Amino acid sequence: MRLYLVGLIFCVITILTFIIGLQKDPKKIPSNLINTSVPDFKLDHIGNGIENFNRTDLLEIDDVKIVNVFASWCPPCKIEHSQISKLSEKHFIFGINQKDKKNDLLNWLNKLGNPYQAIGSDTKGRASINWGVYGIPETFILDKHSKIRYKHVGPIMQRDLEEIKSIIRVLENED
Amino acid sequence: MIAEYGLIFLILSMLLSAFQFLLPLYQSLVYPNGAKKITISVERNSELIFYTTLVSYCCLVYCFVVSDFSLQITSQNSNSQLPLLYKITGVWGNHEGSILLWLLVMTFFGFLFSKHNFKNSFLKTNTLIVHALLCFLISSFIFFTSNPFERIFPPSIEGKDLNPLLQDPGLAIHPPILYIGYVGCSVVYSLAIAFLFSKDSSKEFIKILKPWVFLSWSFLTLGIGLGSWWAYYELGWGGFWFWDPVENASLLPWLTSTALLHTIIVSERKKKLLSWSISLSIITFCLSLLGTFLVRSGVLTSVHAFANDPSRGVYILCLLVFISGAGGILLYKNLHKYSDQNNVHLLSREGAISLNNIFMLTITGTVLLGTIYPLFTDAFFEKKISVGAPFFNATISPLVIPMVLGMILGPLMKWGRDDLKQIFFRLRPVIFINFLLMLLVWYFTYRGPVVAVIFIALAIWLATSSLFEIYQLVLINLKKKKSFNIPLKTVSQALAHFGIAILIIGATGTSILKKENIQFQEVGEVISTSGYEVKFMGVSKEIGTNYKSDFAKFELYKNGVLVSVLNPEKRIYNFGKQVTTEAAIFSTLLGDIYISIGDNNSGLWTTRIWFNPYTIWIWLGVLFMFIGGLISLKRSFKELK
Amino acid sequence: MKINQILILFLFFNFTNVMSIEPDEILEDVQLEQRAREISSVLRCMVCQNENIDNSNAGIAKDLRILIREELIAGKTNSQIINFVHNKYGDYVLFKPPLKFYTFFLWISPFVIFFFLFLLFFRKKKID
Repeated sequence: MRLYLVGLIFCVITILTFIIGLQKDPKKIPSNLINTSVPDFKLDHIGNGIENFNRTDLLEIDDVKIVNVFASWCPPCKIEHSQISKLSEKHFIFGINQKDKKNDLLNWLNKLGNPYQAIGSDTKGRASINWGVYGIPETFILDKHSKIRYKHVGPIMQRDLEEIKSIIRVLENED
Repeated sequence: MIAEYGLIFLILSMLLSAFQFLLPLYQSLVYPNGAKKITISVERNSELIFYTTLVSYCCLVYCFVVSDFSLQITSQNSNSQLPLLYKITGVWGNHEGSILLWLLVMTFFGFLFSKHNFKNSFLKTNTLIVHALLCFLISSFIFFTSNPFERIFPPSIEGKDLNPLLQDPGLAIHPPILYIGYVGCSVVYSLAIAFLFSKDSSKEFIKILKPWVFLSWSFLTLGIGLGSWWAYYELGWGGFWFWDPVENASLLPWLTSTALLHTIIVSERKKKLLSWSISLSIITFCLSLLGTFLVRSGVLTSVHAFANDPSRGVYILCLLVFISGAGGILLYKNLHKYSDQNNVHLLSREGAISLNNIFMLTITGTVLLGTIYPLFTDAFFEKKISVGAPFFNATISPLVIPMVLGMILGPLMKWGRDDLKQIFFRLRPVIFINFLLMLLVWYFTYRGPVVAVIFIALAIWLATSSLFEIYQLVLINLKKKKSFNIPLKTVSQALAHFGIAILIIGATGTSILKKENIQFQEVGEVISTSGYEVKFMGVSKEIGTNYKSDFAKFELYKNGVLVSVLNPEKRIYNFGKQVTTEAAIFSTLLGDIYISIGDNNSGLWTTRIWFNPYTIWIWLGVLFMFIGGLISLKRSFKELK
Repeated sequence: MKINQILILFLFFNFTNVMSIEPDEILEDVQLEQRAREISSVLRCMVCQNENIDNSNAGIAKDLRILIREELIAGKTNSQIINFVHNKYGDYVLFKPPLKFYTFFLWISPFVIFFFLFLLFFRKKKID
């Protein structure tokens, strides 16, 4: 009798798991760096008047910051570019440029505009690994103390903008 | 128009199966005493269900063959340039078509069962009624959530291609064979349910059940083997088993049906373990449904993913809950009737079988839990985890070792009660041979890892003891000098165990002892590996029916003598531009030379040359098991007559 | 919905059978390379369906393979490297789940199941 009960509980948990599992997207993987301080990373200078940045630059800014990982060869990055531009009107946006050719990047920025405060080049993808990036574009939101508080995987679409803005607002109102 | 006919016949099949279980239900409610019964012939009706499904299926095949791209399914999974073979196999290279094939096989089993002659008409009728219910559930699933005959407007002019990985003869036969195995379990399930409703003697039930278990087990074995063979040569890096959710899903019913066919042997001989046989009959089918749910609902990410749709997931989940729930409740209500027969002494043939079954079911449970555990942590702890090959290798391998020991000792034990000394006495001749063989193993693999040595040594022991059994039988028969009479039962068991043994050798060899050479190779350059010289002769451009390929040529020498010419390819398919690598394999009993090519780096080609020791033994082992199963199948059908 | 699917196509490389480890990644030192393989085989490619980073041709898998080899040359131990990657990407990246309270049951499950079945099967003996 007791053994039957164990079996029954097991079945119920399994079914519940499946029901909840059906409503979730197995491809969404949360960042493991949420609520940790900015990781250490090193980016290369691009030149042509584009400023580079590193960890201390981020730490110095006493405000909410956005770090966007992008490349000119990535089509979704082009799609999110206008949203990034909109965000750059009011916020600091830093760009990590992943495995790009210098000329491709400069053409891309000339054509679409440069919303970034500073762009560093991650030629070998090592900095991206330090940030826990697994597919681009990815966008991080950092609070005033430069802790990573939110990560958006994939392009920021028009409909994502409100959510991102509200997260930023909450972070701005923190101490 | 043909597609519409297909849909009509699908609906017809659905209604007929509904009719078959609703009418008896209605009658038993309205006339509980059995008076005024309108009798329908369930046998005839089962035939009709099969024929209508067959017509419906043929309509779908027709749409693929004539490349009718006004259908959703053809426009997504076929193409006018596709060779005829792949147009036909493309029917089951997608969710809708494959589930219709599933239904076809299922109704075919109903048809077969209706032709299966045995005296107990009550059991037969009830089984067919339960089976019709299952058919109805599947056909309504097709009709409501995955209609293969759905049209699109405007019709496409050209179809997107069939996934190039599936354009392969291996895939042509793999799903139908696997489905015969999966769906064969549905008859086993129906029989068990029908038996729980009836008050019949167990002996007859076991006899009727037996051939169906062997049938589904044999084809499940062959189907899984074919799938793994396909993965080996098609996926291009020489792996044969990835512990992917889809593979695990097919392994689960195989494990339980293996356990089932062992308990059936005990039930038949000793009238014991009947409750286990019934439970396992029900569990096996539930697990094949569970596998279907995992694969087709999209809750898990898998290498072999189908296009997914949550509404299908919900429907299959309901099906699963209903079918396993009904089985569970019936088991709970009736099982106590048989549980007094479970007295088994550990030191006996049935004890060894039972202990091995417990190991087998432990593996089943572990694989099942490992497969669904990431879902569980995500649902209840919001944690994403992965459970992959390293976990399964670490947990399953230790369980296999005592099982192989059980397979060695079990057949030597007597039924009922045995004695340790006598077992050892019977073990003696084999132990001596094995001592010599193990020395040989140690000599040949002394550089290899310890695990490999343990596994190969155990497997060789199992192989010799299985062969020894057959040898003894032949010896006894020779002494008698009368009519040559070898009991097929022992032969099939020994063959299947022998198959397991060489499968273990093959799997261990391939995964632990493989040698790899990855390099940039110049034309004319020779790479030596494991006694072979592989000479790269260059790459030419070839044009296939629906792809372009880089067609490489390698000459394979052994001791300076040309033994084979191998042609690995890299293909780019015209539609979708997907790139696939077609490996070229030279198989010998000692190992495979496995070559695939990569990119051209200004004249230097990336070539990957593996030596996979004993790989072919995996498929030989599967073949032996399949033959063993077929022999038992034939015998158990004969016994019924 | 449509645009989303197209994006996913760009974002996540679909499963292909193109084997990925390239000859120029392989280390001269056989033992270090052997260790690199051991590490690779337990790390999951995040963007692929269900492959380890050794068998994947995705960019992130290649970056990780190179990272592993660089760290090995720098003298790190296997577990240091695995811990680093684990720290960056979370439990999802490990094919062998770490022992935590939510994976505890998974790791003890073989024993629990075996014990449960053994009890279920042989418990009648005591009554007789």
